[in-house]
Amino acid sequence: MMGRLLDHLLGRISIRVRIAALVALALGGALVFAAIYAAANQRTDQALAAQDGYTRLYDLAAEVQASALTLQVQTEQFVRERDPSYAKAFHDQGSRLMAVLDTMSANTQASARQGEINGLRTAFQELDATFLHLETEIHRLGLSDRDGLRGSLGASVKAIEDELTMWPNAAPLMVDMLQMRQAEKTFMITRDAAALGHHTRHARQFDLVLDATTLPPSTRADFRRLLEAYVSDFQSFAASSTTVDAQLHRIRDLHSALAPQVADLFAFARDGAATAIADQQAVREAALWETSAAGLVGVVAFSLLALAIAHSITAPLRLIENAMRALAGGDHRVEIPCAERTDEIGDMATAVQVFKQNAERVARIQIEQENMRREVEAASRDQVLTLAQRFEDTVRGVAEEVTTKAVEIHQTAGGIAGADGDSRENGWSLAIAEAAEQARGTVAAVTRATAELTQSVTCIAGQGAAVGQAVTAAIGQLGTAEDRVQALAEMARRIDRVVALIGDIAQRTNMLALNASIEAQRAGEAGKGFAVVAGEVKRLAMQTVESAAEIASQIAAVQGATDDTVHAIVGVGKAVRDMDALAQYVQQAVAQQAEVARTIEHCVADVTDKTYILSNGVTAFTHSAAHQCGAAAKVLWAAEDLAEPTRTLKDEVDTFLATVRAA
Amino acid sequence: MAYEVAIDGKAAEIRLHGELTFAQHRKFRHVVVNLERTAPEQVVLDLSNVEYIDAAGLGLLLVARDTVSGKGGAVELRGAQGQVGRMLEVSRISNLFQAA
Repeated sequence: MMGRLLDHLLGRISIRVRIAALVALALGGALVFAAIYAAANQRTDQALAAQDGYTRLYDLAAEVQASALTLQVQTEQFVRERDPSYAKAFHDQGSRLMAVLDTMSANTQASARQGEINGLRTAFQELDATFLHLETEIHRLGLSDRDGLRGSLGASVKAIEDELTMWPNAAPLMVDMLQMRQAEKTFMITRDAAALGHHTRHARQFDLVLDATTLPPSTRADFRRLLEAYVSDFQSFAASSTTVDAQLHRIRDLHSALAPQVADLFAFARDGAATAIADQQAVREAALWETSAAGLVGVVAFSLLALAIAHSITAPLRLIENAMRALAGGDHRVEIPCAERTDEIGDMATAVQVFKQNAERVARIQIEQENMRREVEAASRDQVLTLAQRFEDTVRGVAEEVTTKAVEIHQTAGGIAGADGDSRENGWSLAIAEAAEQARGTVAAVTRATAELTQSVTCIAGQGAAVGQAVTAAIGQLGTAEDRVQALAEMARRIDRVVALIGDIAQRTNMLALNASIEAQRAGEAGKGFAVVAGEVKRLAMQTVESAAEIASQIAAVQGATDDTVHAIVGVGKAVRDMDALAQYVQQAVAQQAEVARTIEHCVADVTDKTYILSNGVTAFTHSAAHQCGAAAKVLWAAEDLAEPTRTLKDEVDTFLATVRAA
Repeated sequence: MAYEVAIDGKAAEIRLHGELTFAQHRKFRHVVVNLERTAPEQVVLDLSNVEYIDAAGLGLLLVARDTVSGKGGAVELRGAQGQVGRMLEVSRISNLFQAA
């Protein structure tokens, strides 16, 4: 039910989209898996970090425990052996321990135990302080027997004993002295307060015995002083020793108090480490399980979906395949499945539907053809025979016609080539062609002659033009000469007028001179000089009149010559103009002749072209005739060749018909 | 018309005698068939003994030329004189054959 619904739903989505969705799902699944894996990894890392912290804490706690023990041992050794190196070792160890504690309080796993660590720090500080006291006191006591209080005590004992040996009668004192030394040693060994009392009692006894001795008073005083010093030194020594003991006790107590705390911390670290390891393993397993489960679920889900999609593609495909097989097998009534689907398979089904329709149509056509074939077969054998007869008649007719046509072709081809007539009639084309060639030669000669004529006429025309130009130049120059002669005549006329004017002036001067000579004669003697001048003037005037007359006559001669020249020039000009007109006439005539020559040239060129065309035409005609005759010969040969196959065809048809009729 | 054929390898020389007109087409066919069969590359048609040729004779020469060139060969005309030489010159048929 579910599967059917899923198939139905998937059938509405195209395969491409289905595959794309599958890929998207795979990518999404991979992303989710990666996220789960990363989270699990982070948890594992955290658990590992916790485990690591606890392990380090465990190591530190073990170091603290060991350090505490070392400190204790070093304290005991220092007190016993009075060696300062132990004290130094103690201090170094203490510093290291403090550093370890600092490291420990920095450890995140120890945050819950910060109070205890601080307590330990305070306790160790107190221990250190107490040890300092102890150290000071031990130094005061003296590290060797000759130092400090110990040395003082030894010295004062030695002083008394030396004094005692100096005095033989001091023997009773010796007893008490020995008693005191015994008490002293007892105290040193046992630290017993009773020994102190014992010592004091014997000291008092010594004092009493001293008085009873026979020693001189000064010696007694010396003894007494020595005794006091000894007692005092011993008491100081005892007091200091007691203090040392007290400090040592205190240190031991502190150690005793510390031990459980350190052990507790150690236990905490150990348990924490164990728990952390267990946690870490649990977290690791959980992470492994989670990622495995997620991966498995993802893979299974993806596989199922992929299978579903694959099934949604392959199942209908298989249905269509079956349908197609059925179609191919000839079952045209098979139902094409999946046609209602809207995906690619639906399209495929539609296409197959078309196949089916085509196959149905083909089947129908086949049936129709089969029916037709049966009908044809049903037609009688007589018809075949009739057809054979008709075929024979037709073929025979065609063969005979072919033979006839071949003969006709033979005749026609012969006609084309003119074979049966007098073959020499074909020679006319050769004659025409040769005549055309000759005409071409003649025309070429005419052309050359015409060209020469044109050239000479052109030459004459050129010379005529030169003559015309020379005449025109002469006319121009004649005009200029005429103008100049006219100007000369005009000048002569003007000179004539001036000469007349001079003559006139000379006449008047003559008249004036005459009047002047008359007036001079009237003046008498006074006017004699003046009369001479007047006579000169008159003579000059007469000469002038004569010169003017001579000039006038010469001018008249010049004028006459000038007029003759003008006449002559005008005559020459007329003659030259006549010549110019003649030259122009000649030029026109020559031009006309040149035109005629050109026309002749054109005509000759035209004739040349025509002759050439004619010659080419004859050549082309001969070519064409040759090709036609060649083709005719080939046709004729082909027609002759037809006879043999036609006969063969006839024989073949006879054989075929005999076979058909016999069947 | 009569003819003699001399074949030397790929070269053939054919000497024609008498007149060459359409009337000789059957005899000339033998020449053409011979050329078609032997397919020579170089053919010389010796016309020095041909006395007369007309347009049909020229056509037969062209048929021989087409046959030889169809097989990849070439034809040369040689020794034409008198009317035959003038006919070849005027018709410019000799331009269609290999130059001597």
